[in-house]
Amino acid sequence: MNSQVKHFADCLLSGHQDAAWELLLEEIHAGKSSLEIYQQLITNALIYIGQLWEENRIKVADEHLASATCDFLLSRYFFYRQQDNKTQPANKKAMFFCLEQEQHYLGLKMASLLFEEQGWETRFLGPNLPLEYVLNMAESWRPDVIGLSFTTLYSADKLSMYIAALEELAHSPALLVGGRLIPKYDFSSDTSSSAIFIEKLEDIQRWMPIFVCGKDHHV
Amino acid sequence: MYAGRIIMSSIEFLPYPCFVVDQHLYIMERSQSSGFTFGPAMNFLELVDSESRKKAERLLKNGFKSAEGELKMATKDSPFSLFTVRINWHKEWGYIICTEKVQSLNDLIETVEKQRLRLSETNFELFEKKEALEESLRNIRELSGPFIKLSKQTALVPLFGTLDHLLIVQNEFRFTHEAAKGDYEQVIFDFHGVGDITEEGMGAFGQLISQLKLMGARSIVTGVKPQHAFVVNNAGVDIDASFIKSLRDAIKETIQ
Ligand code: B12
Repeated sequence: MNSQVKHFADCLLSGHQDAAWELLLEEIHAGKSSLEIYQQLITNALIYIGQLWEENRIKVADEHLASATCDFLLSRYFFYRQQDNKTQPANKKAMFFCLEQEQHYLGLKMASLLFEEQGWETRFLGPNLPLEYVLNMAESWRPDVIGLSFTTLYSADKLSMYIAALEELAHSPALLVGGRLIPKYDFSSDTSSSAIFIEKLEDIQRWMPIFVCGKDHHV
Repeated sequence: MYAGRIIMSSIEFLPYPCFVVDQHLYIMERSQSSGFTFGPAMNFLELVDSESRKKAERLLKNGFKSAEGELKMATKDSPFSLFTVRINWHKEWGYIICTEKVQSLNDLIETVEKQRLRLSETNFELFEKKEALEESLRNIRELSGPFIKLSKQTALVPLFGTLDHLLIVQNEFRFTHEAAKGDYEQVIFDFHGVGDITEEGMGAFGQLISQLKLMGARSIVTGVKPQHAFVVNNAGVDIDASFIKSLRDAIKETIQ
């Protein structure tokens, strides 16, 4: 981990929201894109925080404080970026949620913010969403893309059930699945489907134009 | 024999999940209460979540040293409940006690959840305005105490606005720094532009004056209005300064 990532993580752990914000501003002024900031700085800082816990140097309570601070900063960052964002509306809709019992939503939030930055209309439904709720929302709002996320191995069990149910949707939205376990295991084998498994946030850059242009995303 | 039996079963009835393990963490003995919380296991590590296992090994197989740390463990209710696990070694046996962190953690989760909901309602436009406003207030406070050189020996600090704790705290470093740099003999604080004075403000002002005195500069206060008199005299600290009615008189007196 580079020293900037560690410094950012320290700010989060001590709840020093202002110092962390200064660091984000530096990144913005250095010309970094949101994608780079989310992936290289914020994601890595959270992973580093996980390492500190494994080394018995911090407690889960510290992780809670750090994540709450991080969440706030993501919102503030996004607002700041939107002020001079001249992207045209994409006239596309995407909704995002975590599987039932899954509380880790920061990665999902970054994905959702990236879509929004590209002019998409988004709905961020957050952590722990039961399937019926997802289906109701998807049927009434008819998003073009549905993004789901899970982090703990335990929630992976429910993945195939969610995907099977979402594939039944009449308007057949594209399904994106993300989370830290995607690069580690092959989940596509337990689902028959066309769902797209995202290993790294930057992969959505490749998919976004396809969703926007072609109706046929089942490629 | 009898005493031995008591010792052998000594952890059985402890009201916590407790284990006696060997150096490889194989379970030799466990308390009854551990059976209400955890399923069966040969080795203690089987009860630990896969992504806490490395940590567990480092913590518990640490050259027979006592240790304590958090681990996520699979209980009968949840695949990863958070526990504080303590180990103490006696000869070749490790004595482990596990305490679940349910309640304190749930409280915490609730607070964080509330924070999250509040966050989703935060109006960032207002938030940014508030930050900008605070910044300009800071600037105003700095402008509210310019440090002016009148002569080689004398400096003037006209104060403006409310004399409160913040006004002093934000400027005191600059004042003392300037006073030291210029090696002034006296500093005149003019209260002519001061509106309200708070008690804490006067307290901080008193301390500032003592600091200046230590550096060899005496203070003179001018322009005190009748409505200031009460706070100035009752601030609870000695204001170690001479009071002169008008700035003009003070200047006359100091610059001859
Ligand atoms: C931060 C954190 C938390 C925070 C979560 C804050 C939040 N709101 O998200 C808090 C403190 C709340 C937390 C709680 C818990 N945690 Co936790 N946590 C972590 C930690 C340290 C980092 C996770 C993280 O945020 N990573 C950064 C994000 C940004 O990365 P990401 O999710 O992979 O996302 C990226 C990509 O995958 C992608 N992406 C993700 N989703 C999506 C979706 C779409 C559509 C797309 C396109 C892309 C995409 O984009 C992101 C950008 O780079 C990890 C440690 C680790 N090594 O991962 C443990 C970890 C994940 N936690 C773990 C556990 C067990 C828990 C708890 C269950 C423990 C407990 N009992 O207290 C609780 C859950 C509480 C509950 N009630 O369920 C374990 C999981 C173990 C396992 N076997 O699976 C880990 C691995 C720690 C450990 N070693 O034990 N945790």
